[in-house]
Amino acid sequence: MIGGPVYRFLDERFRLTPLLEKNLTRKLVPRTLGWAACLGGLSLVMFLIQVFTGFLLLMYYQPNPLRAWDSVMFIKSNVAMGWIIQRIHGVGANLMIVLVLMHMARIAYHKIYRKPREFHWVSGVLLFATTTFMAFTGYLLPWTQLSYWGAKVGTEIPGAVPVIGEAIVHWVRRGPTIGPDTLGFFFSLHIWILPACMSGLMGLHFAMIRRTGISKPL
Amino acid sequence: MNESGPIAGGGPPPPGRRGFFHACIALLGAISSAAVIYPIVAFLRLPRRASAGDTLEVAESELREGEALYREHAGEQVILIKLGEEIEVFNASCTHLGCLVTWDPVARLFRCPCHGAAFDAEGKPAHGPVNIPLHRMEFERKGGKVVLS
Repeated sequence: MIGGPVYRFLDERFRLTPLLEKNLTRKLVPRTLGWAACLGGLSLVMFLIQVFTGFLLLMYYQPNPLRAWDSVMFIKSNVAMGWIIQRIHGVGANLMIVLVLMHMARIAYHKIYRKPREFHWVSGVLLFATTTFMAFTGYLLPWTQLSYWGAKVGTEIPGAVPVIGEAIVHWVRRGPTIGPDTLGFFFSLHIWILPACMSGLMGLHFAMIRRTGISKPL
Repeated sequence: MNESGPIAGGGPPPPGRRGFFHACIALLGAISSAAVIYPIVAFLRLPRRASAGDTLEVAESELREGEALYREHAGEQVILIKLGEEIEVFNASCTHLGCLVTWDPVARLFRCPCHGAAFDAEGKPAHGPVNIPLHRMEFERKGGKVVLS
């Protein structure tokens, strides 16, 4: 491919070779870096898989208590390859949390979060929080018994806050109980608000890594 | 080169072997790309819906004298109508510009809401901007049922 006529055509117009050499083929990384250094990148790959499978599921999913479960069943049984796309999205969410936690454990273990990389860690913790919120809001969407009780227990947590706890619980549930408005709220968080926050945080996270470079193992 | 063997030795491998490895890598790449692309393309195909079945069956007891039934068949809206002992099935798309006509039981006309076209109970143009009759659908009467296939 590289060196072929298509590549030459593009290279003459966009001068790709220096870009590729700087970022890929001649990029210098510390010799002692192992596979564990890929965990952050793998988390990004998982995010992209979730975005893409999510886009596919969104073509049939209906965020309405009367239709939600039926529409998920429709995807799983009537849409060609729907079962595997739905399964990738569900299992992928768990896998992404595991990868993010492993990435964070490595950063903590090697003390990579220290000066000058404190804000990498801060943005990373925010990314972890948004990732878990994604999993939590996505869990409600199929509108099963597990979803319902998971959301009920999860939204009870802020109730422990003194004085305003109950108000927070009602605000998060869009009412005193889990209902159609909770589903709509979680759906909008899941497909738009949280992914938008994550994209912004990831942009910051990667830009900071580009500025400071990868931490050298001791 | 001979001391350390062909793999660890210096210099590129012979061209035949290099070409073979390139082909292997390309093949593996093609297989894994297909494994990703096939489910996506399959997913994007139109799914089979329960209502888009190949045959439509309506019990004749559902049809009442002088009234119309609206059903979907093979992606088209159809109208079933019973007049005396006769049953007629029409494609509900107006032959003018394709709006869906409705049965007016008082005037005994199919009326189109878009441009005021009207058809009589046999589907012939009655007035308005049309001169093509409503399309009749083929059907069979089997064991007290109207069957469209």
